[in-house]
Amino acid sequence: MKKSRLYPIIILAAIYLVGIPILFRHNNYVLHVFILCSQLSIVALTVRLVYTTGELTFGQVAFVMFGAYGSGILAMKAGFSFWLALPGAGILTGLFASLIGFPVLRLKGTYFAMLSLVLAEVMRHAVRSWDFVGGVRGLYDIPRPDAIQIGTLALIPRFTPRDRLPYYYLIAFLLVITMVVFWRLDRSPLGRIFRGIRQSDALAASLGVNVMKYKIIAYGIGAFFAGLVGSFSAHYMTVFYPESFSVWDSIYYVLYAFIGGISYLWGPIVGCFGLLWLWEFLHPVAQFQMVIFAGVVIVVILFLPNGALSVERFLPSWWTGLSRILRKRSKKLAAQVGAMPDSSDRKAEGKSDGSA
Amino acid sequence: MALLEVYGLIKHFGGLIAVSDLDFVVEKRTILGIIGPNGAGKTTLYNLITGVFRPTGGKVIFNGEDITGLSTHRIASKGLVRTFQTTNLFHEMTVLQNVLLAHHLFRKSGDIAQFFAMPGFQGEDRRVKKRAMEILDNLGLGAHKDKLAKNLPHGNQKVLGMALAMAVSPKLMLLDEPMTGMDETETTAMMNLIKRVRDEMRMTIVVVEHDMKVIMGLSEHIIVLNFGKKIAEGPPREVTRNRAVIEAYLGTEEGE
Repeated sequence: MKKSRLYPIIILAAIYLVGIPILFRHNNYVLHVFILCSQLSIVALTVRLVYTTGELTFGQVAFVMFGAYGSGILAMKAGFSFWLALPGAGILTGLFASLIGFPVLRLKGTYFAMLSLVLAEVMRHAVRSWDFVGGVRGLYDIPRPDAIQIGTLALIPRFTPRDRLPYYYLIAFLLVITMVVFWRLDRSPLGRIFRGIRQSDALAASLGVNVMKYKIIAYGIGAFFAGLVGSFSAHYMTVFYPESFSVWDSIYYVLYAFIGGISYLWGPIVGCFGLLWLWEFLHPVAQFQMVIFAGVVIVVILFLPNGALSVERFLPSWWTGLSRILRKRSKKLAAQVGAMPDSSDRKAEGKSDGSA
Repeated sequence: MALLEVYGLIKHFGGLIAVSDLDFVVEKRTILGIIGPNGAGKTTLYNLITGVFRPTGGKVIFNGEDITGLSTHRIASKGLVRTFQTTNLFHEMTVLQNVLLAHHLFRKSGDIAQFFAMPGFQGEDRRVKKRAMEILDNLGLGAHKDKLAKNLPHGNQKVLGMALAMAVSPKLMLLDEPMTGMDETETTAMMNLIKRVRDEMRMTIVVVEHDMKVIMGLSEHIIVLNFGKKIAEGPPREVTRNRAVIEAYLGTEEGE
């Protein structure tokens, strides 16, 4: 697996946080699709995180649901501000996942995948018959995120149903944070442990790695971010019910991750943005929408079984040359800033050469 | 002084008795050989000692401490590490990354410090890298450090398996058929390597092997297993003359 770098994240985050709002700030439809993309990308990224430890989860929707209900309860029943309910829901979801992780993660492979799917369905049915959270009708009139002001200076503007831009910024910002966290996880010793567990958990254990602990860490961090998305979506849509969180959602999260390329850090995002926008562009050909969509998915799976990003293997040489130049630039930059360790061996050697 | 003591070890799989009432002791800084025909319970014995399986009965004492039934990673952290019979590596990682991962117990910084690359972590990371390269150079794998583990030749893969175990700097290494699938020169090199590890790193080593010649040349003390039972024990010369051994070992080998 290739190590991914920080500079593409910074460049694309800048485009995403600045460029797109400038172009589309009055177009609520485009903003709404991008908001969906950001939400689903985050969850697809958590699918990938769990997958780095070797397990394929079909139950991430359960954590999105947990976050949505957690945030709804915190905001409506306990009177929390959205800005507390959001991290609160994330933390609750992460803790919940860590707890159920102990029994659930004992299973591996197909058995884990099946159990995760069943668990999500069981939880959905459980909230259906729980009147405290609205039963089948779910929760509605969930408060929108409140404005935060110091004197007359608005730190956070009012969130209104008509203007989607604040929502866009909020979820785009969460996506960037998720991406940076997962990027760092990937290249820290933790990420190496995750990958080691996937490649051989018996060997990892024999070298002193507490396999269960690290699987739970991955599962819990994934659930934390899925819970954040659940909370965001609750306060964005202001209404949800148990049927909003069906098994289909879980399947799509997995699809996004695999179509983009699950071994790539960028895979889930590419898959998610690509497929969602494809779906939108196919609106004019309404009756063929699903056929073409499915056709594209099948073609990608047939010709790029490792995901859309595996085209990098077929890219012409001018492209690799260009990216090498960019990489050198960024390395120089990183050396000046005071680079992260573990990023490359060569850099450390280069430094010691310079001082000698 | 005894480093590993095994008392009355029993393992049943349903009706099958894999290991029955096994006693033995491994002295510090010696090489103990365990031989026996296929299915004699050698690998099961390793799995029992390293906590992969929970024994049905009996005790395993390591360094004066009862480790019976502890989990594998706890046992590893006490300084008892095994290698695997089927080549077991992190196949999709480079050779260097394999050894870096094996330094998990060597790292003192916590997970959070590692995630945020806190100041203490950076120096530690350099130390880990240096030590990993030392181990690889020492075993002659330094030139292969950037190759994927799966692309190494078989002999080198076995050596890398040893390197992973050494990275933990254990007190006791359990080697499970370290010479399978090797030709004669590779086997000799591996034997010398095992002896060198014992002498240079002051380690105690237990070797399970199929090959009589190898085990004779390597070990100071030998245990012969058959059907989960110890049928003979002693220095190599004595064991080869033992009647029960000849019958059990050579007998089944002819039958195969």
